Amino acid sequence: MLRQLEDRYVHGLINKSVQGFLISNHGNDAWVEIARMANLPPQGFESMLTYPDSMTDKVLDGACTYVGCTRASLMEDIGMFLVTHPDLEAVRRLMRFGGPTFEDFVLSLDEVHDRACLAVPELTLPKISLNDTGVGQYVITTQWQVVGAISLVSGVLRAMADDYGALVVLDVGPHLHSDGRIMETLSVFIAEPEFAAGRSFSLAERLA
Amino acid sequence: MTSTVSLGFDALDGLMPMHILIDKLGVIMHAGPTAVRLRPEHDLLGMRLFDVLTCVRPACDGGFEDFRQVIGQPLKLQFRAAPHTRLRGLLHPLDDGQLLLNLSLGYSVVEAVSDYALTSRDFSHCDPTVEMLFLIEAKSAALSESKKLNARLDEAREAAQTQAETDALTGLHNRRAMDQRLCDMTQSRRRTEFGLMHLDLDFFKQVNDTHGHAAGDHVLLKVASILREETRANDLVARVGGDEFVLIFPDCTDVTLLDTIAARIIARLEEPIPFGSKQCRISASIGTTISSLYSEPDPDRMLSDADTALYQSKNAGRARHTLFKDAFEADDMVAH
Repeated sequence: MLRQLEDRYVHGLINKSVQGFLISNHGNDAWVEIARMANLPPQGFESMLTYPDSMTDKVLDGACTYVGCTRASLMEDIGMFLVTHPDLEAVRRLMRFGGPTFEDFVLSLDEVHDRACLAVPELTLPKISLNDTGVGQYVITTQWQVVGAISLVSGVLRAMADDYGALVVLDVGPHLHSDGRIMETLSVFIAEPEFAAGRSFSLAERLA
Repeated sequence: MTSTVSLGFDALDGLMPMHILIDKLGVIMHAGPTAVRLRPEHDLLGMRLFDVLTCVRPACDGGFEDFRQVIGQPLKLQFRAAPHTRLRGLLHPLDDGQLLLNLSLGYSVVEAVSDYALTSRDFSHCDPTVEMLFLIEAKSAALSESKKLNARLDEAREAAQTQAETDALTGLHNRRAMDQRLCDMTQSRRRTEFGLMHLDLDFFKQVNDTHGHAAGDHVLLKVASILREETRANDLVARVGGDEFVLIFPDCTDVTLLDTIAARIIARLEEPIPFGSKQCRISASIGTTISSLYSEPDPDRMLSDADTALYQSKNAGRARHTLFKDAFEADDMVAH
């Protein structure tokens, strides 16, 4: 029961990230207009509060209308933004705790939901499961209350592959609804684990 | 019957990468890969354990026999040479007189990870150290977000409080702020002497009726700025009604001085106030009382007395100042 209730809310950290992405990539005027369409005040979301998931959908729909793109491409851009934007170095570092190689990182994705909950109990990230389909090949399935989780993951994976210096081929599959939750799939093929010299990561470079 | 297992160094290195194996004379025979990350092999192998590490708790100052005393006990150890990393340890005897010491970083983990540039590969897959480091970072990121939220809420609370105590049109204090200040100043423990003036504009209604509300608002803004200029920063000026003001002068019960201030305020308010092509003319009636007239000053009583003095000014023909004492004597005289 509690579980179901939580699923209908999206944490402010996620909403605020979407807001941060829109302001950073499309400007404050774009955000003010998108917020207006979603009946939000211009200052937008607070990162440590939670919001009904319909509000996240409204903002994402408004952003797609404003920018003129699909939900999938918007979510993919947000995923890349989360990992690559200098202001969000903390996110990249937390991702890199997933493991020393890109493949370790992919294998850690099914723990992302639980890891996030340990840090911020109300933060419900997409639930991710993994299936091996061959050497360096996986099919990732996401379950979330917001459409586009798989594209978000795909953006994160693309950016993290660069970060590790790996060469990957990603292919988003169809999505299906069940009980108000959306299941989406993505196939991942790690073509070259050490394709380029990635960015450095050390456990010790803690951020202030 | 006890069953035993025999483990090769490979297994030992994988299961507890921070172990040290000591022979029966106390000399280090072997060190796990992470132990070697903390101290190079040549600083460990062949050295006597107590030359490398000191046992802080239980306190034992060095003999190998001392180490034998603490077998099975929780140990707090420290490197003798810098960096003096503190370690947790557990010592276990082996069949042939050797000792196996397993180590962990305990609370020095964050420092040690930095001092020795440790990576996730330096920790056993079953050791939650990396997860702990993840949590430390994630929690501190979440905490800094929470702190930002608190700062914003605090700012908003202050803004709301200022707004709640401010008259929207003139920016002067409002009745709520005045009540609070009077209450503070008359509380017996923090009692402060003060002068209290009640000011009511004269001919303001005519300005409104003749020139309109915009002119009225303009005049009120001008009145507010005159009242600010003629008072000290520490005095309180409050708009308590449409054209009614209360002024509080802390530490001022000098009636001559208060009379001078009142006369100056009236004189300035009587200067014509230009509004567009028109000249607005007003004046003011003022009534004043001082806290030293009362053995136990009470806000309501004092406001009522200042009001009595104000009406004395109005009745005497407006545009003047009356001290409550005078009003009282005047009443007295009427009564007699």
